[in-house]
This record gives sequence, C-alpha cells and structure tokens, in this order.
Amino acid sequence: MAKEKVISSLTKEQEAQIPVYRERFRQIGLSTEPTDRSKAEAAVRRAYAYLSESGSSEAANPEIVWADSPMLGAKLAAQYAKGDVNVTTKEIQEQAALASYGSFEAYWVSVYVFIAEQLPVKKDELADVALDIVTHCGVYWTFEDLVVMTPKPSKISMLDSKLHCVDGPALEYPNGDGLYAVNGEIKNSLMEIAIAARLESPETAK
Amino acid sequence: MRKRYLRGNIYGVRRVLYDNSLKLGLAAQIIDILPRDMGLLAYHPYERPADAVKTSLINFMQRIYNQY
Repeated sequence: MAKEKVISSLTKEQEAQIPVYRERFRQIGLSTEPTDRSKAEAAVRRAYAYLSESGSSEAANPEIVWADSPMLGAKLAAQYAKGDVNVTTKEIQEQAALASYGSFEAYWVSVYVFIAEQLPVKKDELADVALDIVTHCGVYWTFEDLVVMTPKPSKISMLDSKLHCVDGPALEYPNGDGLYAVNGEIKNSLMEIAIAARLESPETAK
Repeated sequence: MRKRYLRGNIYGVRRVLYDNSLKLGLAAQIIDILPRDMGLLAYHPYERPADAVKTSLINFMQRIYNQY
C-alpha cells in the first residue's frame, strides 16, 4: 500500500483562505436567519442514516418533532426520555447537558470543511453532514426513534464576544423565549439590568 | 426510559469524523500543520463567540425557571 503523502505546510493560497473560513463559520455560528425546517430535518436524518450505515445502531429513520425554543425543547426531551408528561424542573434542567448545540458548534466543523474543501486529501461525506447540521440546525436532542428539534435564534446581541444587551433579551428565539445578559452574565429580567446599571452609574455613586 | 441516541448527536458526528480522519490517513497527512494553521482556524478567539453563546444558553437552561 502506498504511503500517504504528508502535507507539512499550506500553500499561500490555502493560508489566504483561513480568514475567509474563519469569517464564514463565525457567521454560521451566530446566524439568526430563519430556520428552514425541511433542511434542518434533512441534515439530522442524513447524520442518522450515515451513522446507521457505518455503525451497529438500528436508529435510521427517527420521527422528528419541533419545539419553538430550546427551553421548550428541553421540556419535551425530558418528557419523552421519561415517557411521562409530568417532569420535574430538575429533569428539564438536565437536558442542557444532553443537547446538541447545532449552529453554535460551527467553529470545529470549520476545520473539517477547510480540510475537505481546500486540501488535497480523501474526502469524508460526514464533513458535509456536519456542515449541513451547523448551517441549518438549532439545539436538538437525539433519541433512537425520535429527534426533538428547535429553531436557530432570531436575535444574538454581543459585545466583546459576550452576550450583552441592556434593553432586551441578548439571545432570543422566534417565539419570544430568550435570556437577558450583560457582559456575558445572565440576568433574570430587564429590571435587574436597570438596577445594576443604576448602581454602577457614576451619578449614583455621588 | 426512552433510549437516547448519543451516537447520532453532533458530538457523535464529531467523534466519527475524527475516527474517519484517522482511517483515511487524514490525520497522518496533515498532522504536521494541525498545531499551527489548523489550530488558528479552530480555536482563534475571533470565531468562538458562538461558543460563548452556547455556554450562556447551557447555564441558563441548567437553572430554567418553573414556567417551563
């Protein structure tokens, strides 16, 4: 078997593409474009089909249900996992660690897509699958026979790479669910933000 | 309890992608440049804000209020 040729450096053209990919995937990661549900479903189904073919699982054609936000999706996932509509707050909270964070995972997918598109190597279809997922999917939960999907956010407000908004949610979903945050710190309400701003105001300190 | 399909989540995809890259000899082909150029592409702070959003969302969901 022929020994693989080792790529030990990038060409100038390939290096020039790095900032292009960085910006492309930064935009994918922070996308607030409306979610195309059929494309999102196709992306997840493609992952299931690929992994089912290459592995031993029988999960190949899951049913897909949608929730209007990750907050509602977490509840639905908890209910489905338990097989009971009655779930505790703790059971919902536990879903955070079991979710797939779709578009927010764009940064690492950038590496595989860069390799697949820019370097003279053997291609892996799964890189395309991952690209489809981060491009089209919001947060989702995977079961053997069901996937709970949610849309991408409709608003992301940031300052210095941290969630930040003083007059509304910093992260918001199309149904109005979201969270308040100032300098990356989560706040319970606009009132809390206003009080904190007033306390920090130089005029208040006089 | 319904059975979760963790292999089918995005982190399962990531693991298989990595495994495949080993099988394809991809890692061997590019390993020399990974720490340098690929590292810049993957971990430069400039394109990690979405990761910061994810962290905030996880923190929020882990203390989700009773209305959900």
